[in-house]
Amino acid sequence: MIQLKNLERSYKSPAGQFWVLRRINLEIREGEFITVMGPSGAGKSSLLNVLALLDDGWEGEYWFREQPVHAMKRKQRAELAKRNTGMVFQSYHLLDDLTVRENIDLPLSYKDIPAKQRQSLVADTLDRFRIVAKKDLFPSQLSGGQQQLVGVARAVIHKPVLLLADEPTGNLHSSQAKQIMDLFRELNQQGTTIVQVTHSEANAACGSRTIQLRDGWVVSDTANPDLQPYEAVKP
Amino acid sequence: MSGLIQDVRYALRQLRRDPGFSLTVVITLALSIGANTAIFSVVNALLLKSLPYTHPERMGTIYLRVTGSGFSDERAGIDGEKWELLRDAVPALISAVSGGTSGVNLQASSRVQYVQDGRISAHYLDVLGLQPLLGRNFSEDEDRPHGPKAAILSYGLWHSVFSADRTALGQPILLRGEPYTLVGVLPQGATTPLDAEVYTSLQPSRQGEGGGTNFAAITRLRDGATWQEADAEINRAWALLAQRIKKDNPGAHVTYYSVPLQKGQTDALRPQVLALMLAAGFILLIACANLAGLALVRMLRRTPEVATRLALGASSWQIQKQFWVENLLLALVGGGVAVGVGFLALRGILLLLPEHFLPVASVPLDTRVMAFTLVISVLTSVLFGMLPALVTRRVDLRSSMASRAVAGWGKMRLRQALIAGEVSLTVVLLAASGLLIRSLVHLETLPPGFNPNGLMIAKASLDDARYHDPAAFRQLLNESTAAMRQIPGVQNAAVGLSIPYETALNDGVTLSDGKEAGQEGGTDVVYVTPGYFDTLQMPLLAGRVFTDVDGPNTQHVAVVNQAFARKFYGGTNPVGRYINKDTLIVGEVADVPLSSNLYPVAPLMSEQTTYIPAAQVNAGSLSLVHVWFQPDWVVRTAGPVEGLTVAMQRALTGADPKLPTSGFYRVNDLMARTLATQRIEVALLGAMATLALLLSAVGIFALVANIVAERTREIGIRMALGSTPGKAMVRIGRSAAGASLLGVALGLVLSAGALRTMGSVLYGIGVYDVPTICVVISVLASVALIASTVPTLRIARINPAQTLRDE
Repeated sequence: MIQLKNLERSYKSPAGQFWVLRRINLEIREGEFITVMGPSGAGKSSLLNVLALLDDGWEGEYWFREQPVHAMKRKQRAELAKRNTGMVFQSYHLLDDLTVRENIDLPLSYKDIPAKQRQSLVADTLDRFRIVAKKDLFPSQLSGGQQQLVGVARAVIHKPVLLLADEPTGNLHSSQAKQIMDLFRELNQQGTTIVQVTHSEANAACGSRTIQLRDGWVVSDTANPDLQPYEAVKP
Repeated sequence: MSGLIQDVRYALRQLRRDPGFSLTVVITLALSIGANTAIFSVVNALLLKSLPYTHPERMGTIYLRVTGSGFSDERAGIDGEKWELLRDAVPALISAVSGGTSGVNLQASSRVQYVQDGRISAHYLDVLGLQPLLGRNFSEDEDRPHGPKAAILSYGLWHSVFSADRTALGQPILLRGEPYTLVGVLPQGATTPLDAEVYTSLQPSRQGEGGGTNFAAITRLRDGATWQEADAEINRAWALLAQRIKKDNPGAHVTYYSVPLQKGQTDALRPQVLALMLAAGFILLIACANLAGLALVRMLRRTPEVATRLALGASSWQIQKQFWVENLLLALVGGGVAVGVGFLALRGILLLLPEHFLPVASVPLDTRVMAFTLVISVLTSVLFGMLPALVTRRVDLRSSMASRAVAGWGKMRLRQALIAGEVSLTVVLLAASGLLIRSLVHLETLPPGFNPNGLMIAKASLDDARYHDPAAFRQLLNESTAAMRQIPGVQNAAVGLSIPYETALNDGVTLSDGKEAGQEGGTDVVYVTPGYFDTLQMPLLAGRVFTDVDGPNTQHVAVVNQAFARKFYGGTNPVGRYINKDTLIVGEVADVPLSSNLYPVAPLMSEQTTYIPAAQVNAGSLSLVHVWFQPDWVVRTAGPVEGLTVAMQRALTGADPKLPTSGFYRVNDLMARTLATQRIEVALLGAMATLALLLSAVGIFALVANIVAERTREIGIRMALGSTPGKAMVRIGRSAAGASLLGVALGLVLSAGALRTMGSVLYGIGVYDVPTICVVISVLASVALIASTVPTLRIARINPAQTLRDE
């Protein structure tokens, strides 16, 4: 589904070039549930932002379903992301001025979908996530777990093929976290490819593959036991 | 459409959640757009709205342009000779003249009242395309000298005097003590350039009034004729008159040409009105700068929301659309409130203006004004929404979805630039209004040359056939002033054709003896009763003043002022000299300021003036001067006298029961009337400068308050590391102070260019008046300092420990 070849990301700083991703070579197959782990500053969120097409400043090759993302213009990438990806954030990033229903509807409102169809999709999603009773509440009226539930609902309403989650349970209690991870498992079983960034071993255990990053390098990949990491960052 | 409805719904919700911002924007817009609406109403009424007559584009007046040696381009004054040539030798036009409007006494149905009489020639109403509701227009016979006297009433006067009685037609009414036949009534709502209550036939000739350029012409193109043809005919008809001008101005090129009547009527006010519109435009720009800053800050706070929307698939345009909708909603609400503000401001402006100051009947808030308000409401939403919209295009998703949105230095510079911009515009407005204030103060504090305190003035119209008789005139003056001297508390009383601060009659004068013999010139002329100079306490510099001995059958005498002596006698003592063949100058008095009429350079100035005894005014002059002037009965009291005006009225009525006064005034009232234009300019521009200052202060305050709010964390950390609140306040306040300073510097540069155009409306000071500039800088600096400092006081309440805990 996704192929990254020699993908790198860096920033200019007064001290020189600062690398956050180094020679990333990765292949993600349809239906996988991948966990990306590593210490702070390893480049986990940066990798996720690149996969989500939120970040344009990388170099290298990025193939998405055999389409060369690296050759696309910004508008084309945005269109690709809109159609195929959904993102779940650690801080939920719900819009405080919108109700639950409106937050879930938000991604649909940026597509050319007739209003009636949108209403139907939103209703189905509310039902599916069992939050119909909360549809007219605002995020400030929900618990953390409920907010993240809404975040996940918003991310999957348009049935993306790829779901990206950045520390989805980072701000949740363990019981809420379990609820979210169970949901992820269910989505994955239904065919959604999931890439999550997490520090939690328990969350990692929900996935089928774990990739370790350190200082921007991939140092281990359970799907590639023969991987030879860069000398300087060998574990 | 559903997307737009959704955007509107979200926008309303957003604005409701931020009432402080929404209210600030609406109030700012209401005030700034309201000011523009009010001023544009006046611009519309004066310059844009068609005259309320049939085919106004075919109506005009005549201008005279003189180029070559000197330049002038103004409405042509018409005398009797010009009028006859225009009437008879310009077939392309239907022409008419008027002699202006003056107050006269009307007696009808046992009522005596003071009304405004417009004196018009026979075809005046035809030029306007007005047909009387009842009766007819003036006939040619009624418009010839000594012809039958006829009158046409306005609808309102017919209603009030005759209770709308149709049988009133043909009835006699007394105007100026003479019988006039009522021949017509104008339709309801009909208006003329004279805006009078009664119209009488002018009966123009080459004598009397027609001996000078005392008429004003209006014209209408006949069917099939063109303005070019009309102008050619006018220049042919007046060729000899043009030759006379060229004789006095060798090398001059003289052209008469037609201009639209609307322009002719409003030309004098055009520069002031357009200047006010420009000032109102400045206010709008300042408001937009303020709002752009506020909107930018608000947008920056919402950067995480913007980033989230972008991450969820929104395009840049979809994000911007949301903000545009919010801005447009605010602008429309602000514009709606602005209509109310504009209405009130317009009422205030119209109350400020003396009656008949504007040459239009009304200043409505009509469709064009509403459309203007709508357009500038939309335009302001574009102007103040543009910056935040541009900023959304450059949102960095990665960093924006992190915890807080802090204004980067790029945005700070932008906000400082907005502050500098609005402060610079404020400098221009403050400087302009400051100069006008100084100019007005100069005019109001001109040495009066007399004692203005303790005087009460009554005016009455002597435009009455009974007072064409010098004996009756003298008797009226003697009896009324004698009666006024008997009022308890009155020290002295006198009558003058005009008094200081008023416009005086002007006439020619010929010096009759000495080396100046034969020299001609112009002089103001004022007839006075003997006690005039004592009553006004005008210093006598040489010779004597008039006494009761100076009567109709004695030596004709005159008293002149210092300006006369300077002008004609090089400043030497004029007593004993002769003017106008046989008039002996017996005294010299101090100069007093008059409303300039002879050679206008300033609205108030001293002009050469000749005072003559009222008892020596001949019948011919009496029948003429009272058409244009209402004499003043002046009394001096030591202190306030209760019931003084009633007693003065009684004294007048005792001398003539059919002589109502037209009003009572203090000297300040007369000065106010003469300086009305200057006072209005000061009031309006001053109000706008104050509003600009307030908006700038709000802008500076908001900028600093935002900086404090955004950098609370940084300030807390700095204080935890050893900084003091004072240092933090200086650090924060400095950014706004620096922007204000730059704005002042820019404003001074702008003013250097802008103020140059004010030279013609300033008196007694130059355009680069140092004290004014210093005051402007001081005021702005003080306001900027306060606005920068007050919001930083919050810093003193920051608890470093709490800030670190929150981290």
